[in-house]
Formats: sequence, structure tokens, C-alpha cells
Amino acid sequence: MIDERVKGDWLDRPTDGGMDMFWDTPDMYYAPTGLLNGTLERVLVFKDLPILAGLEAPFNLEISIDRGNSFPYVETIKPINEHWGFEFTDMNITSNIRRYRFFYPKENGVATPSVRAYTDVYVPSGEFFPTIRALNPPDANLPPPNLN
Amino acid sequence: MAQQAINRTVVPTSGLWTSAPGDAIAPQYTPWCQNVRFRFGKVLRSPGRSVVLDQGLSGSIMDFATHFDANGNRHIIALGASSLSNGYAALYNPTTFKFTLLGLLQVTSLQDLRFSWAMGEEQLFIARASQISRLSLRSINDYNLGQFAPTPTGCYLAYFKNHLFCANILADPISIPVGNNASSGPMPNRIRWSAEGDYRNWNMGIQGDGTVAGGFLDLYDGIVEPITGMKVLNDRLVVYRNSSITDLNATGDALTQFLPENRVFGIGCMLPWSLASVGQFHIFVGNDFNIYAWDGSNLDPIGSPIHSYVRQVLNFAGSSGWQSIPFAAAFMGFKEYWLVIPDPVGGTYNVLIYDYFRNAWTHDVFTGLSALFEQILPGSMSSAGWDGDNYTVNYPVLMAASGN
Repeated sequence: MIDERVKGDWLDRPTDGGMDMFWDTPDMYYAPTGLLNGTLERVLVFKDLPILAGLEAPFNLEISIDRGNSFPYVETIKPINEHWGFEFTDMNITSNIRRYRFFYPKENGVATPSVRAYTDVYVPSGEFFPTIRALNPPDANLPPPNLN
Repeated sequence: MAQQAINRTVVPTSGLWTSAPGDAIAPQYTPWCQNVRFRFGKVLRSPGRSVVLDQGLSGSIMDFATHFDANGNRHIIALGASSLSNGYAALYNPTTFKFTLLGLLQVTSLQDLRFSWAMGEEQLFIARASQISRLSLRSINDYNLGQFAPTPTGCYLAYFKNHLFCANILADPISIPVGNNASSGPMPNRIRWSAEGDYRNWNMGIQGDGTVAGGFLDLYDGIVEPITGMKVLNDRLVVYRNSSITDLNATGDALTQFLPENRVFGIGCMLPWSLASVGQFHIFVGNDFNIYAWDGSNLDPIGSPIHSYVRQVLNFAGSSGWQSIPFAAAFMGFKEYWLVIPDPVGGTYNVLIYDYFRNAWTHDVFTGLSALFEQILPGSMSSAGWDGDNYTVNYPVLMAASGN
């Protein structure tokens, strides 16, 4: 039975009811042109208050700088009541684009997300250059490199 | 020195949008999500899933149905089968959360499809690409189940204007009157109906005593193609084909009881069991892989945000019988339409959920799902994770069947 009064997935994980839950933000460039780097310093997450003891499992703030292909930066957040519903994470990541994933792993047991908003703080850090060439073969329609 | 820039962004409560690149999506949408809901300006968990409440019926539960008796008592029925010839009906006990087998349907399915059912004349009519069975139930000790008369063999049932309808005819034991261009063989674009107020009488035209029995209609307009579903919408029976939508109107005339009225050509229902009614409109997966809401006059492409994703995950080549057929359920208590796209081989059941109150899509993942049905039930208070505080005793839930 799928019932809002039941918290968690006790069908697939009868031990702790954990359920993978996540949602992504869109890919956000630091400049409309996509050609400006930013150094991400902090993400502030706004949540419901009070945080009831034992009801909100830790969750991850995961950051992708390749438009969702991978999320190599993982910050674990443990909401506690004393934080007044504001959770800070600090990092130092330079890129021209970022996507956030708020991820509640099933291994952490039943979670009750209540995120309302997020604020990120970054410092503009110059022009964006794709310093590492893409691994895929070059486009056949483009001239081969190093011909000048 | 560069100044810090601060961006505050609300969470994406407009839901899922997967058919556009992530950097082209407005901040109120999410490009991807799982097992969450977008309500009240925040992100919430999806409804929980209780522990297994019952198992042991032979074969899978393939659908649930509701039966009302003449006194208005409601019974919840599970329909299932483990082969084409042993379809069964089982009665649900909302106190013990157990099913009691009522018996076999006594018909043989010609195709490995899902069930179709309709309720009328105090009977629950059931077909699975088969002749029609009926269940007349007053209590666990007082019921009739089985085939009632030679009926057409068809795929979809509906009860409309005091007639039982059967569409996409696979075989018909009752001969068509001379002059009509069809035999008793398969007629997938045919609709048959029984006599008014008599589901047992499938004869056609004027009878020996001067009364008029049932009838049939073949849909040829636009393009000749199989019927893929039908449901009642207000005072019309809406019949879907792959690329057309046709209304069936009651004429009031005894001889020509129903006439078709063509409403849409070019768009129709591609996945028969994706068709669900939420009262004032139907929702279905169209032949262009988009999802539409049809309210009788306006065809609304509500599936644009997930259009590309549906096209991506539908795997017709991997089809293996009824388990692979996408199906849908209306969860009107939460203003939701649930579209299940099964992958029984991979064991992943993607469910795309449309909140038609907030116009938002989201995405749940299950490891097994064969039937969904909305009911208002007390729920299993002994299930782990149960928290009934501040809820009414009877509350909208989805009954879910999973595997065997």
C-alpha cells in the first residue's frame, strides 16, 4: 500500500525504510554567456523548523560542474534544531557552471525533506577556458587542430 | 578584488522537466528528481510504502476493481492470473489486509494483455482479451462468479447508458446480420454493446418479439486502426484509437442506438492501459509519445516536460507479455496521475507522476509494480513507519501489487 501516513519504503528496505530521494537544480552558469568562471564558496540551505529529533536523516549536497554527468563534490548535511533551519556548507570549487543535487541516500534511513530555498555565494574568478580537451573524438565537421 | 555574488533561489516546485537540456531549464523546474513531491513551496517526500500486507494468491495480481452491490456496499476485488486460462477474482478484507480467492473467471484469454473491467447492473464485468465474466457479490459467502452467456471476446469494457460495451473484438460467437461486411473473426476497430439493461443479451437488431437488443459499430473514419481504449466522459463514451478520438453518442433512437462523432484525428491513445479518468478529463499517452489530457473539447499536451524521457524509456522490443505493458492509475485524493513504465527484466519500474492541481511532474522508482488502485482505507497501522497522527482514519491510499 502506498500511503502518505507511512514514512519511508518498508517494502524494499524492511530494515530501515530508507529510500533514495533526490532532486536537482538546473545547470546554472556564472554568466549568461557561460564564459565566466566562479569560485563557489558556500551554499546555504533553508529548511522547515523545528527539525524533529530522529526524523530528518542526514542528506548530501552534491555538486556537478559537468552538467549532471557526475557529482564529484559531496557535502553531508546533518540538520539539527539548533541551526534554526539554516544549514551551511563551505567549499572551494572553480568552474563556469554548477548544478546542485540534494540527495537523501537510502542508507541513511527514512528522511523527511523540507527544503524551501538555497543560497550560494561565489566569487567571480575570471574568464572561462576549457583547459582540458574533451575525451570524445573531434567533430568530423571541424578542421583538425594544430594546422596553423 | 572581485566582490562576492549571492544568489538566492527557491526550490523547483514546478516539478520535473527532462526534455530540455539542464542549462535551458528555468529555476522553478528540476531536470531530474526521484521520490519527492513539490508542494506548498517546498520539496517533500513521496508517500511511503508499507510492508507486504498479503501474499500467496497464485499468480500475479494484475489489477484491482471496485464492486458495489445493490445495497451500496463496496468491495475491493483483485484480478489476476498465472496463465491465459486461469484468471481469478479475490476479495479484499480491509481489516485483515488479506485477500480471499473467490474463484476462476472461466474464460480463456486470446492475448497476454492486462484486464479491463466495468461495473453496472450490480455486476462487475471482467475481460482479459476474452469473453466477459461477471461477479455479483453480496458477501464473501454469497456471490456468483463466472461467464454468464456467450459474449463477444474483446479487450476493453465500459458501461454506458445502461449498455455494457466491449471494444476491440477478437472473436464474436453471435453472427452479424446479413449485409454487414464483417464475419465473426477479429474486428479490432469494432465496438459491441449489449441490450439495454440486460448484459446477458448480446444479440443485434430487432428481435422476434419486436424489441431491439444490442448492436455494433465499426470505426472507419480517418484511418482504420484498432481501438486502444474507451472510457466514459460526462454523457459520452470516448473511444480511443492509435491516432484518433471518437465520441459515442446515445441517439435516443431504438434502432440506431449510438452514433460516432469524430473529435480528433492525428492524436490518439498509443498505450491502452495508460488511459485513466480523473473525472472531468481523461489522461493518456498519445501516439507521439506525449501525454495528453482530453476534457471533451480541449486536447492539452500536459506531458511536454517529460516527452523525451517517455520516448527514451519505452522499450517495445523488450516486451514480454502483460508485465511489460505500461499502465496508469488516477490518485484523485492527491490530484495525481501515475504512469507506470515497467521494465520487468531490469527490475526497474519508472513511475511518472503528474500533479494536475499544480501542473508538475515528478518521478518515483519501484522495484516491482503490477497494479495500482486508489481507495480510501484505514491503512495498516502496524506497518513500520506508520505515523497516523493528525490524519483521519480513512485516508486516500494507493493499493499496489508487486510481482507474485
